[in-house]
Amino acid sequence: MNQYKTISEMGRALSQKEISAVEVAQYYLDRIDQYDDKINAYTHVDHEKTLSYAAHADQLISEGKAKALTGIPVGMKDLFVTKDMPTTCGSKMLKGYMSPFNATLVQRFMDAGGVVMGKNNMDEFAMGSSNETSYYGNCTNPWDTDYVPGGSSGGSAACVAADLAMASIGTDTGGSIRQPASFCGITGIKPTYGRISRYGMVAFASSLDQAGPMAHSAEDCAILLNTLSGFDSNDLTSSRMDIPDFTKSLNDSIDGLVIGLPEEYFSDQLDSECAKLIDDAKNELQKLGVRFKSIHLENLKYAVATYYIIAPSEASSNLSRFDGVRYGHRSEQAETLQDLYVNSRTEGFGDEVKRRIMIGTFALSSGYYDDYYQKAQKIRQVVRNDYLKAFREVDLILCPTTPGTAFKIGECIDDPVSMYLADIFTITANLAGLPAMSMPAGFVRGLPFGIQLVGDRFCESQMLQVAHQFQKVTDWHQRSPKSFGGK
Amino acid sequence: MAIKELDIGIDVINKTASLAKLKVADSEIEEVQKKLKKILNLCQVMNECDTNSVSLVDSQVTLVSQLRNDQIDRSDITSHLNENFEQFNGERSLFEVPKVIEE
Repeated sequence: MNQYKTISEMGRALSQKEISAVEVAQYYLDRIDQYDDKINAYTHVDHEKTLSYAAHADQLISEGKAKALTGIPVGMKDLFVTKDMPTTCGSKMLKGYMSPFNATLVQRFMDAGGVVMGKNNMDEFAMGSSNETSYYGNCTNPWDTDYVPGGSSGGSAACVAADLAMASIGTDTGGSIRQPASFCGITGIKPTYGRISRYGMVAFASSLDQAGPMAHSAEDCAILLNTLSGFDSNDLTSSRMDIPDFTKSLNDSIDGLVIGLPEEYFSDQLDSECAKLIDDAKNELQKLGVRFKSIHLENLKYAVATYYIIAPSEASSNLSRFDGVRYGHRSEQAETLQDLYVNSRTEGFGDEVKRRIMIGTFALSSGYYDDYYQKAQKIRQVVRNDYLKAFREVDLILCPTTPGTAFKIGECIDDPVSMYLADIFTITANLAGLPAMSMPAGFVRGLPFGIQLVGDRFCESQMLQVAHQFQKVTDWHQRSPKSFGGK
Repeated sequence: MAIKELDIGIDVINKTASLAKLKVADSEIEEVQKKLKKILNLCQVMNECDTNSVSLVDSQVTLVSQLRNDQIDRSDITSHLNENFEQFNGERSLFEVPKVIEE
């Protein structure tokens, strides 16, 4: 089974009946049984359900109705609601929660005959950069289990890296697809805000949240994006923009493309060995005809502060729905309705979630609103203006995804500020609503490191094209951790 | 008013927790205070950014307003509510909660 290295290779084998979808699903279920104890990438796996999805895929294939994702095994971050499996959001608050409906992207994936392998571990309510805030135990990095896989989509990244699914769907509010993709040596794309429906995705910060594929290669991401993208009347922030075939331009030449290098991103904060890998990547792209140009995104220094006001403010509002009345944890220690609210929330949320709710509540409260929330919203526009200016000069932007490789479990968990500062290179794309992706660029001291491409709004095709061309001349994305016996 | 270095007192922590419908135990309050202060002081850097020419009206990410037809779109979610909460009274379509009015 492990000869099928890409979704398109596996899809071809399935449609030609060299293998069946049930055989594929069983192979990955066996791998999950064998290896997931080491990394805890899944919060929920249901053999029976997964095999029933696979049997349905085989039926579609036999009826000649196969699509690109029919029979392809994919994990879902545990914040997309699913009718057949619990959705916990990595929180005690939603332990055992069963949704009455599927998230739009889950439904689109299943309508295409895709096989959901299970729900992937994540930081609680997507708040974290290390997967250490999950109520269901932290996920670990398959390249070295003493290290974090990144977050918040850490389980998604780890499951792909360890080959416990062909791909996973994650979400990115401030870097939660790209940072774990970098730490685990896979490819992950956060599309333009509005490209994929957020309906049925448990909300963290609604103006920043965006779902996206995490897979081995840019080509796999493009195939997934084709199915997941599009307007949804249940999410009026989803876009009515035309959806191109993201695979169509992958093999087009990138000769003459101009890529910007923002000087502010290549500072002392960047690990020197990681900087060397970026130089190597630049050289490869130059050989393909790319021209590089130095640019400025001078308001980068405000990004972390701005993000950590806006995101918690939105979170404090979004998470007010967890009141112990309609769903979620309900405290048994409540004599009055007020007690029910306070005790259910205090018992159900973890420390990091409570911290962010407190920050957001403070920033929105009387006397502080103008100085914090309103100021942050204005800086958000300033950051966006930086990008508007940059994209008049260049086609895409190249920068590191993270200042370094994965850090050790426990290293930052007691110092939230140091954890937040590690998001510095990914946050601005969310603030500006732009598409951005991370792709593997090499290894430092045995751990993967990724580089980031940022594009103008709805220019995912161009980013995927550059990433695919890069992956045709490098093999970083094909490496896999030896101890998982994968590809 | 620009953001000044904050000296967040216990009273601010308690007021914020009350607004957020959370309880901070006495044994945790100093640690919560220390971490929130550190995070909010990180935000002082925003003072350095000149936003005088930025209008808040323009400060949202550009999105085209989407409109829906004014039609009732019924869902059958009500019939599933007791799957997550035994306190949902299906017959009366009510969630049971502790008393609201204190004696």
